[in-house]
Amino acid sequence: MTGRPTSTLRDGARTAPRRARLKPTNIWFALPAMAFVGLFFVVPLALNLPLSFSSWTTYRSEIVWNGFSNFSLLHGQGYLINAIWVTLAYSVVAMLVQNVVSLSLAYALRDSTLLNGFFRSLFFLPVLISPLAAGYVWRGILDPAGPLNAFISMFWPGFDFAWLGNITTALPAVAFVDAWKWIGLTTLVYIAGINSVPREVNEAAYIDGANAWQAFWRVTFPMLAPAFTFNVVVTLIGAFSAFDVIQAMTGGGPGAATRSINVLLRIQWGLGNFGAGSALGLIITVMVIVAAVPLVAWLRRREV
Amino acid sequence: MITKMQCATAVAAVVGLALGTSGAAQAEGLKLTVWHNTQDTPAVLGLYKAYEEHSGNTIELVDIPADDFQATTLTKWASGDRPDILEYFPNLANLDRLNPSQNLIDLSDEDFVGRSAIYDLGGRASDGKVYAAITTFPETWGLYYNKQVLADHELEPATTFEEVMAQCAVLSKAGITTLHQAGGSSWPVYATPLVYASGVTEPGWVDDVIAQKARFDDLDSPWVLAMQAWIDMKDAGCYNSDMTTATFEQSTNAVYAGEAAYQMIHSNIAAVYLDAAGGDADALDAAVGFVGVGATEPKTVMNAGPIGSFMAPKTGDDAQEAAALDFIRFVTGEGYPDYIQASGTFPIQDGVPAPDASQLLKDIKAAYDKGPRVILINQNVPGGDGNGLQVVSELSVGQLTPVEAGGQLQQGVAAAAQALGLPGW
Repeated sequence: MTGRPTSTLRDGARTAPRRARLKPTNIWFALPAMAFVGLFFVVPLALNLPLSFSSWTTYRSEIVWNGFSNFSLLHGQGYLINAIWVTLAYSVVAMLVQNVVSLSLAYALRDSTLLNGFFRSLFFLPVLISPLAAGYVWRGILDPAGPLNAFISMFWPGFDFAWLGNITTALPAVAFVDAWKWIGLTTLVYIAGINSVPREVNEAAYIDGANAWQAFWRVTFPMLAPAFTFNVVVTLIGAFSAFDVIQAMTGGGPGAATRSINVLLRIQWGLGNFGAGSALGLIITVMVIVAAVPLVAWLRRREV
Repeated sequence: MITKMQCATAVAAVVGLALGTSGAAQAEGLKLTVWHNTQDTPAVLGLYKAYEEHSGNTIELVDIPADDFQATTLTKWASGDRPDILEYFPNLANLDRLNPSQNLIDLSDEDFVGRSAIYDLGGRASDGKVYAAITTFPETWGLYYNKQVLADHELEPATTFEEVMAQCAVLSKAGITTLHQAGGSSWPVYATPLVYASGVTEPGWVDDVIAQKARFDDLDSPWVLAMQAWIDMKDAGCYNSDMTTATFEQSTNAVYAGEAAYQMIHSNIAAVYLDAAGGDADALDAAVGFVGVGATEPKTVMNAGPIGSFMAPKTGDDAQEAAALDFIRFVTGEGYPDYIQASGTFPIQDGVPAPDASQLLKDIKAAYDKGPRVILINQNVPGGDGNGLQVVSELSVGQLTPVEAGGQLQQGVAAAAQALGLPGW
């Protein structure tokens, strides 16, 4: 073995992770992934770019350059800013809920016991459910005549609230369901991260007088940084593309309360406004790049 | 400038050369591709079979899911793909989206056009031509009502929204929902202002909008008046408390069960009422009736739906196009009487006998015959079937005022008019 460790701790000093060089032989291993990404992501994105600035509708056969008309149309109708705001709010809520809950779960289920194995499987089950199916199930649960209100009514007789019919609660409700759907996956990543922290480090912290919270916050959590980076970025960027859960639960309503960019994209597509739909696709791409690149750079700097 | 047709033609030429086939060489035994709605009734499906037996041609059905019918059809259409027969919305707003003068065979001179009055009110594109053969009784919009609820409160079925509003005062006191709304299904909420606006639209208003002499957000525009009326009824407590989440099936059940007096929706939902009655047509007839409704005076608002409305796209293959026309002539001619009997709905062509029908369907037919008939307002405006659903949804939860909502609708029409290249836009 000729390679050096990718990160080192020398004399307690923190060093940045060393960037691994791509050897010529490694390129062959990367080639399938690069081809896949190129074919299914880069090429469609490149093709989408000119379409975003074109008049592409079902009304006419010609696709002609129209500058920023698609963007100004969406803005003029009051849809664009609202959709961006809804997407951002949805993503932040989903990301926060998902990471806080899954980190807690991971800490509780970190030991590989039979019981923990059962619960890890249980919490992973929603990941395997179709997002549309999950959305329809939760739509039923959150219905004014559904089981959640029935449960609350046991303690608060006559309780009647339309969780998905209220413009204040609809967005957090669908974001919560998105978080619930994916918590099992992020929990597994955190469990792997927690179990990779050497026990000796934690034991040393306890010997030095740290309590459980201090040991977690000062020792375990910093060493979880790679898992934290992965989960935060994946959950946030994944939620930017939210569509299926929202479509199943609210269809973007009530009003425009949950009309995310992708829901709006589908509406435009359904009306035959393909240029406007392409413009919305471009906006999501830009949002992902603008959010992901600095976020990853910032989080990677924190990694030990 | 790229054209989708150029791309499609080039691809078709390459494929044609590669396969070395010629559809035009075949005179019979052709296979016709039909893009059809998965909600096609057994009678419509039977019509395809009848044509196969009549012609010797075969029909290949391509399912378009009813839930996403418009979007799926337009997406396939935009890819340059073309069926031999297209089942789709036959109104101006939707026909224009297909760029019909370039993509559809003109059916204006076909015999069936002269045998049906439906083309006097709609069923034509912006250029005034007929591109769709309508075979099914049009969707007739009005109020389904619970007979017992109205009788208990000594009320007659309302024929105007003014009467609905007046009855709301009585019914609300009795704890009964006057007009059940279904925001959970989105489009039923759109129905109420749509029908109201259709009822107050003056002749020529649409032409004035296209000529830019009138706007959707004018204070006296039919849309602003309709949306204000919708809000007034909401403020008066005429709607159900779960109006933002209820589905139209829940509305149907509520009216059938007597928990609500009225549901504002179209005639095709009669089948859902039959489901609510457990398939018991007599029980349904005893409980529920139907009446046409106007804004301030009785009217019957109607439009032709997609089920059983057929178009013949230009495919560039003479034999296929001729067979497609043969299909259209069959379903509007020789095959039509049998189709009407099988469907249990009423004919829209003169001289075709009507089948036996339930009382509820007779109510619907009576409303249609009584009129005066007006076309659903969004059907005859370019882009008029566009963002209305979203706009009314926002209006319903207070995110837009009626004038703001009218402004958004105006922008949708403007975008469509520009895409169509209408003069002055």
